[in-house]
Amino acid sequence: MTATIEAQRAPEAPLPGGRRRSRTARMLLAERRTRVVLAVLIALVLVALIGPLLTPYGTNEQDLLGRLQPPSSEHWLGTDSFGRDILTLVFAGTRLSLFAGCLAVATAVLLGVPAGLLAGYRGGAFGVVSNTVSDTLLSLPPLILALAIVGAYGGGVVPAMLAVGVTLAPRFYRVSRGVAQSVSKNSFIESARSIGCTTGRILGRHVFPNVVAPILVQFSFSFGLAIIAEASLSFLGLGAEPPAVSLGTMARDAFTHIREAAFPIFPPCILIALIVFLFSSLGDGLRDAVVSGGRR
Amino acid sequence: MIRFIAWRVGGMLPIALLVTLVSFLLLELVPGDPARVVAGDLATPEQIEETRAKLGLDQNVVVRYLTYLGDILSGSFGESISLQPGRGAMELILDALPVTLSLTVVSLVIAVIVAVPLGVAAALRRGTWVDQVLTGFTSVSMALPPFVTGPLLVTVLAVAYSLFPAVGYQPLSEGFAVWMSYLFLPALAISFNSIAEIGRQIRGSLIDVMDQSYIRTANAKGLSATRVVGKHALKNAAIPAVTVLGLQVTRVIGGTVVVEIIFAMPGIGALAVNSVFAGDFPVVQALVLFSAFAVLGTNLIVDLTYGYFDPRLRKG
Repeated sequence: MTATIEAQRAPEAPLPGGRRRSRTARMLLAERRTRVVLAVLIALVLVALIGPLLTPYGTNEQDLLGRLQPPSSEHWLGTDSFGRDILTLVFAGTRLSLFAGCLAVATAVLLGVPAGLLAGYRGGAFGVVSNTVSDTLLSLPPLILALAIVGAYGGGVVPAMLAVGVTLAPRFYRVSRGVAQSVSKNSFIESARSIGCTTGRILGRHVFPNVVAPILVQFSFSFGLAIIAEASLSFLGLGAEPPAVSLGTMARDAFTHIREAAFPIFPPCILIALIVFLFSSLGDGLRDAVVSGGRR
Repeated sequence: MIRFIAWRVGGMLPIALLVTLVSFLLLELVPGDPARVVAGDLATPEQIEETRAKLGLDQNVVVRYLTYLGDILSGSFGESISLQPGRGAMELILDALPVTLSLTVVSLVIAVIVAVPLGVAAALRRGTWVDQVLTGFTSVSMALPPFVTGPLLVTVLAVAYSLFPAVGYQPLSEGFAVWMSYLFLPALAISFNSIAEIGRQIRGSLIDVMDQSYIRTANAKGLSATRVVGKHALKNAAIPAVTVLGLQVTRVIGGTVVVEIIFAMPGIGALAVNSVFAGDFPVVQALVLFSAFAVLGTNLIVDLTYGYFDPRLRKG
């Protein structure tokens, strides 16, 4: 008996999930601005990945006789204080910035979302405790905590970004908790519980799909913040360590030599502003789509 | 009102307690031997043992935490070990506080002075080119973190045109103009993000408020547009903007770290960086505590201003 029911359901089962996913994607990408921003971001990621192959210079190829050169046909963006090709460094730095952003935001999602879903669905003592922890993390200025953690555990991008991820986690916690709280009142959650679904299954299969869109919005905004944090730490000399190159270390180097040559400060600063701008526009676009998506 | 304050403060106690735990664990979880870390690389074994006893590291972890908590409650935040050995960590922070406080206040004042007219103009001219230009400006200014604006402002205004002193700090006692000349560029560098956030918030909430019927009533009574917007609409539109302003304090504290280094100002952010480089853990711990309490205090003030703007919220 059960075997026949499963046999009938099996071929149809993948459809609703798939259709729902593509519907969410269509809703989020409805605005042209969002699609343009996304395309530019994808192009940026590709350039960061394959860019170093396009320039004839190595990341750490120094030319100490050709320090701080202005832009020329050989060095399109000039050279830095070690005589390294700035265009090559920009590619490498962008890659590191994007990696750092991914690491921090992934940490924040992994910590914040499950806790938020459970707190919103269950509430009770767990909710009270996790709310307090989240409020505590919100009261710690991200950069100060990251500084302290880097000071204690040594420099490098990874510990710094894990620290930043922890301070970003409350944002994902709050979003997931809010949605989980309102979704849990629906009758389909009650029905899922009544047929004996485990809490894990209810949260994973029935509550989680509802938070995907708001989490993507938060993801975009947090990514920008994480990239700023990485660049700031590297600028202070507490993030990326040589030979790793980040946009922050480039800005630091350029700023140290600002009275000799002003130009090298511009490429890393403009690129960081561009990346942050793209992610915050993406977030704005997605947020508008989520807000209007329900009404359309 | 007093009950409202007491209720708010009570709600913050568990958070404050957790903050002390975080700052305690910071030293506790250092890989390796904290006594060795604190004593420094050149310390002899005897010095390390001495440091261990001084820090109470030979005791049980719970006892240590309770001692730490007791010390904090009695106002003792540990002593600096490498930056200015022997001086209290809190003394160093209080020395640096006026710099950071000036920076924070001036940058928020700049942000409000620029953002409020901007937001009001965009809201009242909603959908026109004025709105589009201003919204575009806030989008760009949102993407300008202090560590991008700082070096650019120094390069353009201080190095190229020598309009301002490039770096340094002079206290207010040297005269307002001198104080301001050193503060203006760094404060401006920090304020870009806040201008964007406050401006957007004012625009959004003013648009909502202007649609409400009491504004129609005020217009119908024949009040001037300035009076309707200035006295009736802005007060309600200010509530969410005050929240955003409160959130800016956390952001600005983060921003001051980079800006104080760029502009060589002896503030709390610079102290944080220097103490991390010097391995001065008691100062780092005290800074984490101090900045978290500063944020909690700001949140409390924001909550209380809600009560001022909207008496319905005083009930709690």
